Amino acid sequence: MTAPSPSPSPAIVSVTSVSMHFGGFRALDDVSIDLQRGEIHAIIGPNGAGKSTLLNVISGLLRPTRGDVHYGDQRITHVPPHRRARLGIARSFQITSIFTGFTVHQNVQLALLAQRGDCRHPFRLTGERYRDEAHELLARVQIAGMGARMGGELAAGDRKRLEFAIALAGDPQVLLLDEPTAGMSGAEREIVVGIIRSLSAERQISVLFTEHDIDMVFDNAHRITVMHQGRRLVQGTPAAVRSDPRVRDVYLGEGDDAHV
Amino acid sequence: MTAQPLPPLQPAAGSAALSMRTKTVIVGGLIIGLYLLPFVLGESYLFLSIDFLIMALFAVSYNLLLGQAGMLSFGHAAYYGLGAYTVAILFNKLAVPVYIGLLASPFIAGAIALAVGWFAVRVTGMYFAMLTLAFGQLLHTVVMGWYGFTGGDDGLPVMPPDWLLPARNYYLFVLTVTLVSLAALRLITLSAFGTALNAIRENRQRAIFVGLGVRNYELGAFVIAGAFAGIAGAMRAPLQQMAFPSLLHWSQSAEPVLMALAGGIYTFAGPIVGAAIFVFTNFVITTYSEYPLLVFGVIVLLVVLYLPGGVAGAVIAAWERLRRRAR
Ligand SMILES: Nc1ncnc2c1ncn2[C@@H]1O[C@H](COP(=O)(O)OP(=O)(O)O)[C@@H](O)[C@H]1O
Ligand SMILES: [Mg+2]
Repeated sequence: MTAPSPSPSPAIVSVTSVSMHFGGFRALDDVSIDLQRGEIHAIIGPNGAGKSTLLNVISGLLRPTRGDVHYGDQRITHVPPHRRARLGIARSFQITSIFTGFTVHQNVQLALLAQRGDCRHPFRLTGERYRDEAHELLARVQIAGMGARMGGELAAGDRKRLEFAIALAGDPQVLLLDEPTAGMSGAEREIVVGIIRSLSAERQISVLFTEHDIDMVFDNAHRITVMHQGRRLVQGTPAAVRSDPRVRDVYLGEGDDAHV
Repeated sequence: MTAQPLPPLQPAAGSAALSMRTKTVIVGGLIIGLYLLPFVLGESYLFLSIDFLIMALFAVSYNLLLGQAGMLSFGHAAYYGLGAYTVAILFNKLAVPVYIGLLASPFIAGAIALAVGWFAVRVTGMYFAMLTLAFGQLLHTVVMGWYGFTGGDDGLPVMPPDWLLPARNYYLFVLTVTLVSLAALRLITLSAFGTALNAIRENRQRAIFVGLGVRNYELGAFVIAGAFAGIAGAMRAPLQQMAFPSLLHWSQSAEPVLMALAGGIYTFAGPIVGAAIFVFTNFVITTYSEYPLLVFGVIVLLVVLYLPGGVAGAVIAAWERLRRRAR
């Protein structure tokens, strides 16, 4: 049930020859990757392969030692992360990042206020602004009933869904999701996967995500990039990646019994 | 990441606890009471009340940083002192009356806060605390040493006009300026800007990735807090009929920190309650002890240990419990 591949279009994000060094350690070593408009693109690879680091470079959390990141025609290598967020690059974190002292509703409301530029105004009252839109976003990830609860009270899977709703708040063009379904129940996964697929199909939003659940990746990604020790090992359609012997080596070599 | 020296608390707890109508009644009653006060209180208590109002504004301005944005500034007195000197210098050099000088004070204090904050918000946590402390002491040293302009350690005399000299009149003037300032600060804390500051305190990284340029917001908070501290200081100089360099000193900076902690940093009213406790203990203690700030420090220590939400937080929590039991 692999989703049909979108017709080739100009890349919305392109990473060119990026290296990321921490001291002498190369977390990314000359990695290039492009993300097409409307594409669902998975990054897989063993722990420590550099998947999160790559998302951090694209979102601006890290500035690469070498190489460039483009967003459409714009070179964003040195654009600070909050501007990238306003440009339409939203993200989630491997360790879920929400406002634990805000209610669930306030979490999404703040994201809407920030994305729409309201926060610059010291006399524009927050009040019930964007209540309906916040509610819609929560309904989308099916946690609308929890709006009044504190973010910090939520179970792990609900937190992930809240973070997903926060990421959706500004109508992003690009979603960078770091293990979006980790720790979720089967039903929760279905919800997240369903949203990702519909965003891609109906609104041409591009999704770049990392994931350990190999079945989920092969069922839903249009393209897959396999990373290993900071390098891009293989890139291609699920079918091509599945049959690549190097991929098998990496996974078996790591003692990982994933069914590639 | 910002250092987290304070107990985590739900920021919404205070405001959600009381209904809008209850709050309106309480605040309205207090305001009316405060305007009637000079007609029942004797002069010495009136001076004490003026002291309280000024300290309340000083503490609330500070809490925009500590409680709302999670920024631990140790140099807030610098802007308080600059407000006092704005009034004093305008009066001495240009014969500008103090109530006009007061209008200038938030702009001067805010402008200097902008210059200091521009550097200070580049770091967070303890480093931010140390930078604000260092800049505060720098400003203190400048005021102390620039005899020709500031009068150095002799201070600068300030003479209010005749109509502001009677305690009752000055009290009513200070009350009005303080209430208008507190109303403005209240709007700011409830604004989208204020919500953004809460978000930065809660989770700086998440705030960045929803699109907030956190440094600019921190700088904005620093300037606003400095400007309102300037207004508080501008009301202090005519009260003492003097502007002293000690108003900028780091030991003066400890006062808003302690007042905010005593009253509670996660409610708007907290620092006002803290200011009341502070002014009252000072008044009682000064007769017995040479070190009133030390005594107040111990009180704050006990409050922080046993009432982590501060006195205002504890009162609201108790009210909540009572109401729930009544149902
Ligand atoms: N900020 C950092 N400082 C030092 N090393 C880091 C940092 N971030 C990641 N690394 C290292 O880079 C490598 C890749 O990490 P990461 O991108 O998180 O891997 P993955 O997400 O694929 O599991 C790991 O060895 C990790 O320890
Ligand atoms: Mg990772």
